[in-house]
Amino acid sequence: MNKTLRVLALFSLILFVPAMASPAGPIDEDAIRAKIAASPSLKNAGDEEAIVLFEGDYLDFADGRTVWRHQELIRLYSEYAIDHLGDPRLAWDGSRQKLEIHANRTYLNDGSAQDAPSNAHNEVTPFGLDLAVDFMDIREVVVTRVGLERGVTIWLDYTIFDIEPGWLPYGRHFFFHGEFPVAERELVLRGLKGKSVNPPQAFAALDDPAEDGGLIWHAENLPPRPHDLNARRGDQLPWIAIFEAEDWKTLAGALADASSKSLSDLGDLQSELDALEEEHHPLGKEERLAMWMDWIASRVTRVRHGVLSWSRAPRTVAEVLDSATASELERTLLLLACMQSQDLPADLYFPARWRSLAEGPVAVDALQSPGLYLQSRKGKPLFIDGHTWQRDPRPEPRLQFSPDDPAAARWHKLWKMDDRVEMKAFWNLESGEGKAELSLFGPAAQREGLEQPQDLLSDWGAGWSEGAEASNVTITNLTPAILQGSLDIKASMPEADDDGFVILPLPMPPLSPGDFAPAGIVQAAREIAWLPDNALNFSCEWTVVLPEGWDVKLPEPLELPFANGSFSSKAEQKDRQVTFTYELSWNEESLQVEDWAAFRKAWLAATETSNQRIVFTEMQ
Amino acid sequence: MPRAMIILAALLMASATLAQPQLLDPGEARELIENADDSEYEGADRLYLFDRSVVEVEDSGLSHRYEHRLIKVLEPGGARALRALRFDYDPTSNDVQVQGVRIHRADSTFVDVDATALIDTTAPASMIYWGARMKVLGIPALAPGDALESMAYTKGFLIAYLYADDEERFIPPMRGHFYDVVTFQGNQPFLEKSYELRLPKDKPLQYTVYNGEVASSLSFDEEHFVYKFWREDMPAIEREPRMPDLTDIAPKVVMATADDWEAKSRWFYETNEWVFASNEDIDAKVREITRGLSEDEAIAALLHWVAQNIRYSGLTMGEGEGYTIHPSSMTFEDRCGVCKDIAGMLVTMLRVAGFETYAAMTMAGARVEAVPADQFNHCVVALKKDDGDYLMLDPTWAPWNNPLWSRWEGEQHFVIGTPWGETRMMIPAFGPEENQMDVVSRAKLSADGSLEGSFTLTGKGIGDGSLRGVRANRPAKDLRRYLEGWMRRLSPRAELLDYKISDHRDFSIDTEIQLEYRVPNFATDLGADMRIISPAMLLVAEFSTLNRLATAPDAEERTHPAFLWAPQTVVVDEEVTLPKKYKAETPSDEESLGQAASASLDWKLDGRKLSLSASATLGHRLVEAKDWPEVYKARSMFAEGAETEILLRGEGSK
Repeated sequence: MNKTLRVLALFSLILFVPAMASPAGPIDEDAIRAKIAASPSLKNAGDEEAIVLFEGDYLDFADGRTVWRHQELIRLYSEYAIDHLGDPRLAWDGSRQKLEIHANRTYLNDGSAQDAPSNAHNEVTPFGLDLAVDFMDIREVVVTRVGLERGVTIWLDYTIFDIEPGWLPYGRHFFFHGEFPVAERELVLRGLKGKSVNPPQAFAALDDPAEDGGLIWHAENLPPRPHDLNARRGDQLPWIAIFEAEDWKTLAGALADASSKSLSDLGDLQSELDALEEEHHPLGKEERLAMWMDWIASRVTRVRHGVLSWSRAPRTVAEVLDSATASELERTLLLLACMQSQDLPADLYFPARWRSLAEGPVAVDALQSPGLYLQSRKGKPLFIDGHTWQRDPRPEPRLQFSPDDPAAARWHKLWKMDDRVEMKAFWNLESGEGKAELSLFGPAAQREGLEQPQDLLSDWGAGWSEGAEASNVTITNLTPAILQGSLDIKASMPEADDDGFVILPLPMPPLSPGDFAPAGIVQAAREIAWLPDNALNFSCEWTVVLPEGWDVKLPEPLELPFANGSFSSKAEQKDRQVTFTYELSWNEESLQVEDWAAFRKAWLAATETSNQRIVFTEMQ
Repeated sequence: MPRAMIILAALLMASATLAQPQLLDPGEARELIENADDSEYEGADRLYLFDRSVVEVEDSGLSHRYEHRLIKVLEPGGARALRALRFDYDPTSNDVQVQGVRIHRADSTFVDVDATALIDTTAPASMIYWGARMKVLGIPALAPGDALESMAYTKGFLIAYLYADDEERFIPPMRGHFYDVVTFQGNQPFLEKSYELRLPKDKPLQYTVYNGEVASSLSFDEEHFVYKFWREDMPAIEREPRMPDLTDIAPKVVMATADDWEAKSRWFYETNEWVFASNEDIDAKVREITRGLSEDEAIAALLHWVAQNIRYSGLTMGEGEGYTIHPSSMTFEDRCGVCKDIAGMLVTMLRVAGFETYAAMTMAGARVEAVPADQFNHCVVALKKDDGDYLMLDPTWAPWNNPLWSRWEGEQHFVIGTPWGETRMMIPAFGPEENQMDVVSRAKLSADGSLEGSFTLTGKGIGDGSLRGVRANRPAKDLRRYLEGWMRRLSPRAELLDYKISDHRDFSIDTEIQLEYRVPNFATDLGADMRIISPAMLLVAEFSTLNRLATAPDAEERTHPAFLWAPQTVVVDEEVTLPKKYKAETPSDEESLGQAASASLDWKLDGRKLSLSASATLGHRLVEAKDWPEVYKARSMFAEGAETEILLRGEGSK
């Protein structure tokens, strides 16, 4: 079954697209009362925490401005739901939007309704923005729900109006699945385009008969989202993208225009860079790049808030430096300004949040924070991630363009970088002589941090046994994501314990299988397929020479295949020489729920074997 | 002239000129900046060259506060931290004016920051939404070597609220009185910190210095007594995990003009008595809750109803917010409030049920010193018993806990608001047994090394809260997955076969959780022999949800006391049935006895039954630094129980 069909199969029981002639909402008091009457009573709610009886979003777009109305009706059955839904926050950009709350009401168990008093809506400055004066018109209102107890139903109806058009073509995304089951979900667009994503057939839009070009999505009886979603939820759940522009080049053009304005006033940047050069004397492009990144990290405080990530055009470099604050886009542009000061070319890139977006609808908020793409002295690609501020390529597909040529913007495919760990080690337990060759490749190696490769290998060798020492550490290949090298080790065999056993943990590489643990591995069962970020190939071979007069208990060989990979280990003895081999691998194909048990069994065996302690005994 | 004399002279001069400081002459500032020896403050990103406060109090208690600071930037982090200045205020009780901000650049130039760019907006807030505001001034980028000078004037009261005619709103609720708590050490080092207080002569001040030394002087002019406190060359406080509140360890001056706690008690009673009026809806709810219950049962039932039904979310009632409890009719309708409102709801409901009750002020997590200054952050309930004693109740900390008074709040000071006035009192210390966690473990090891067993966990006090929260704090559908995570402490391969948990809404019982599990290949295979580790110790030894001692930082020594909130004893009773033809070599027994903490592990072998009786006790919620080695030793010993391998000799063993 291909991936699309699998996802469809997963949701086939839960998706329902009725042949709606017109939208159900915005709903009114009669509809609210009817939905509450039709919902399970507290007594009949079983283990449900809450049920979303209705949720609707209504977007009208004209002249670059959006009017977005949101309605939600939720019945609460547990204290957990009361705690989690009692004080939602609504955010908007006060510099170009206004918020109007039409209703915040609680339908009580006796059938009466209680409207929240005016003091239940409290405008606050979002946390983290209190020292960012240029961002203080990013606002939040805390909407406190009153009269809550188990069994009541809460109703919220509000609209966010754009007063000014945004600086980018409008685009955003919606998930229909939430923490709680949804009885009825609706999305209605006027003046915007929309598309169901992952897979495209998950939710079908209907034409709105009331509005030429209008679109309606309507779904019923959606279960709660699976608990084991990961950051790639957009690849695991269906979602809907809504957008103004048809072409990503339009978006790239707007981004390039804003970048150009940002770079048009550099303030005192050059004098600060000159002082840096004088202090650090960087040798070459990569040292200079590292110097600039460190300087920017210490020079400006990163400002983050969901609303501003795409609501605000970047300020000029001069303004950024003067305020000592920067959004992730501004920080990236500041680095670009540094590079341009040395005539170093770089592209801007914007990774998709989820692989399912690739080249899809122009939903700007489905993009991650930007980064810079450039080439190293040796022509290798370098990615500077504007979010992590590391030289850290994201694997997701990316929209990339030169700020000078947005018309050439294009999507680049998945940055395929597999995790690979290879080790070959030899250890003569009698003489204590050992040596090893190691190769670490890929994202996990990069996360581990390879800045001090000599230390990394020396420390690793010193961990073979108590008093072990490494020497002749040789690095044969080093990039931010690759380390290849070799070393010699002097490590004596541990002494026997009180019971006469020598128990020796076999040295695993600096990256162990535990570093690749899939999220949710503790769970015996999954609700949704596991999507590996990338493939893994982990292979090790140790050769151990036993001292004269000693025996070893060899572990049982293991051969455990699973749907997208396998694990195997074995030990072979020839005279006093014992060779252990260990191989764990998987590819990037999704692992279906029904294949999880076999995978987990292999994974547990793999981690257990990696922690395995080999028992030696002296022969009598 | 010694620096102390200079400070005193500066203070005397300030007092002679009615305490309105001015921005420094740039040359004077430059001299201070250049002469400041910051070499002793390595690691700090900024240094307060001075931090001066001058406070003048009127007859009404209205205060005028002038704050003058000069901060030198030492590192880029200091420059970033000073990217803006934030001045908090509450429009209902005080106002802040920024009188001047000047940047003294490292190159000896200076720049006055345009104070008209000040942004006046709402402050960030979570859970308490009383309309707190802030004024924020963006500062042009600073660099190491620069210094920032600021002067601000605050009129009014910082934590009290009173709507009235213009000036009236700034007058503190306890009219005519003044109090303050001033600490002389914080997160940044300073060369000089001073505090001057000018009080009318008919308002004598009582004060005490705590936690170290602070220099002081008292002088007077025709109308005022002038109190001065200062300290110099103070490093930033050294941070350690689980430190007590800063006010419990930093040198501080606690000062107040109130006569005694009884006066404060009477004021609190008089201010709030009106809010406890009931209405028909409240009366009906009380009748519904208490129908057929004994007095003790009714008290518990009302406490838990309030705890479970008045959630923590603070809306403003406008006039009186902050120190006045919301009228109970409002809280009952809103079904939300902060601690004072939740306490007020319980006072009202208990009164409806016929109990004499009062609201009380307390301080959760720190001391209330003897000087009758407002040092409170929490509000609770006092029920006067027939014998004249009080039963203390805390509905805010009672959700999903069965004790009437949270066991997290032992040795906590409080002052009850009554018509006759009460003095400061203290909750007695709780014993570790009042928070006991019992862990009963029964397991059977098979010859193939697999283990099958059960745990029965029962908690009292905070132990009850921990176990009750397992169910209450997550959706029902997540419970199995969560408990599977517990089993992973035994082994990644552990399987949770079944679980039971007592009704989390039943506060008449201590919560009990039963877990049944299986672990394939639990034992380490040594050929003819095997090794195992106690499953109970694997579960509890390092698990802070079940074992308070595990929250103790893993450090041999401490500089400051450790504040661990609650004592606890964990008692482990384990029996593991061994496979036939295997015999255990029991590890040696361990014992570490102390007042602050103790631990013991006692192993026994009776036929095929390997038993472990173990306990870990954290004796006090606050552990002095000198007693810390006891805690470290007990913690380590108990933790080692999860690493102790027990050799099982097989029949064919060599």
